[in-house]
Amino acid sequence: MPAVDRPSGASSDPSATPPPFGELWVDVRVMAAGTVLAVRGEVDLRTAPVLAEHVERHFGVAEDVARRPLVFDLTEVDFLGSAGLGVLVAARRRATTVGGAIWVVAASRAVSRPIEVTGLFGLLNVVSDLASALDAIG
Amino acid sequence: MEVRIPADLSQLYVLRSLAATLALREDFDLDEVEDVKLAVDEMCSALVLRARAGEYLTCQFETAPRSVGVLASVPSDNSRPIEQDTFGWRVLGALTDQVTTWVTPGRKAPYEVHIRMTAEAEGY
Repeated sequence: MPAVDRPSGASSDPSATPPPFGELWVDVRVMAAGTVLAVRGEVDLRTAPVLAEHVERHFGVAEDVARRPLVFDLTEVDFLGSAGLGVLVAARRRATTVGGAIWVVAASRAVSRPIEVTGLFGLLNVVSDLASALDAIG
Repeated sequence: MEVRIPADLSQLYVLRSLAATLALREDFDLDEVEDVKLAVDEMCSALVLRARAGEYLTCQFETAPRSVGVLASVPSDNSRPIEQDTFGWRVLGALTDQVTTWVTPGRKAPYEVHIRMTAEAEGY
């Protein structure tokens, strides 16, 4: 896997340096109310599998965790291609089958534009900031 | 301008950056630059997946004031056309003024798969 995965337990610091060009970093925050995947960098056909792996972990570990909401915080994402959309749609499908839910935080046009032109806005529960997503999942 | 680059996923961000630079130079606004970047990524991603291993992706960029055109091609072992019922193709169609794909007999492989797109900057 060429893309860089952050060591688990790394703190999610918004002021931290962004990943190198073309790379993708994911910080995972598991809470009682749900799991937040804080994604930084570029989600393209090469890096999307890194995100898919985190989705797999959320749904594959324990049933009670899988039923909790999964929040994709894409605030720090600079590029989102259709491979990334594919991961989000698959996660949504997965959540539906186990009685869970997903939320997508799209703060920038780089993220909202591909979601909008593919007509996936409603399906993916898009919100504009992390606070709204955390409010929604309680 | 013609760019020849290994048909490898690790090169996608280079092509995105190049497309963005060219669109900026042709006076696209920042939102339109992002659209061109996304469109070029989608067309090159689709082609890289179809390329014969070890081969090269060729991108011809044709720029004019407020217009960027890209013809991208890869040698392929497969004559199957690019699928159009995908999110990637939907993105391409939405973000460009024109996009077409076709397959021809190839020189380095039995076939060559092509995608051409044109994007125009909107009014002022």
